[in-house]
Amino acid sequence: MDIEKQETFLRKHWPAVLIAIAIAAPTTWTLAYQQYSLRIELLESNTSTLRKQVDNLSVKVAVLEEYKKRTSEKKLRIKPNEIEFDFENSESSLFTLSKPRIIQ
Amino acid sequence: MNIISFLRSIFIVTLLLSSGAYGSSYNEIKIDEIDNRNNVTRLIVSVANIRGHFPEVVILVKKKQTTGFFLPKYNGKLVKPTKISSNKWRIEFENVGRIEKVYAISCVLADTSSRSGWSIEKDYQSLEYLDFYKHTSIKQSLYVLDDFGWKPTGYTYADLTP
Repeated sequence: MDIEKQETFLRKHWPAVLIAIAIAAPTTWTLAYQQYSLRIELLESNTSTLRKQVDNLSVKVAVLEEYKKRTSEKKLRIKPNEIEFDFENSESSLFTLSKPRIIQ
Repeated sequence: MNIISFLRSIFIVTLLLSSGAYGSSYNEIKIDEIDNRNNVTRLIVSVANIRGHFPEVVILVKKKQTTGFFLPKYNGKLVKPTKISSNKWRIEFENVGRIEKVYAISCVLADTSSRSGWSIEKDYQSLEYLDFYKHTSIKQSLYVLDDFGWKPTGYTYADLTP
């Protein structure tokens, strides 16, 4: 790198260099600002999505804990005639045939 | 009384007891009407044989090209069938994907003491987290409802495949 050449160039063309800096600096700053803004926006959106997922999962945990509790209670209450039942094939079937009026 | 008739009477009593376990809580449930237009499905469901207990109705939807079941939603929120008369329920939900079958299940809720004071509405909203979409048969879904304290007392379905 020839420093003398650069010095000569700056002495000759300093107004042009000043103008170039005056244009380039704000442009670079604006671009950088926009880029960071976009990244922050994206991170905020990711955080908000994850927060929603966390809320959703905590509700799911509460429901599954309740489900576990109820199943455990049922396990304690179970009677011999409730051990196995077939909903569709046995005499105690719960199924009823429907012939609905269908409007499409 | 010889031993065979004694054993036979034991067998009959056992049979009567075991059939009574579900026979007494059976509800005849039928889908009366399906209005499936403009990407919205409206169902009218009737429940008969309501003897002393007040059933709730749960709707499960089976979509084409999926194995599991889905609870009906409207605007992304779970919708519960509304009672419109003493034995009729109505529900309106959005069709997300093509519907193959609609199941209507009448359930009797376990007593409130074993529901941790949860309201029926909260209980119903909780059904969303019981992963019905993972069940490959309606029987599995009925068992899950039963374990969750929504004892199925009858079910039916309507086939919507053309």
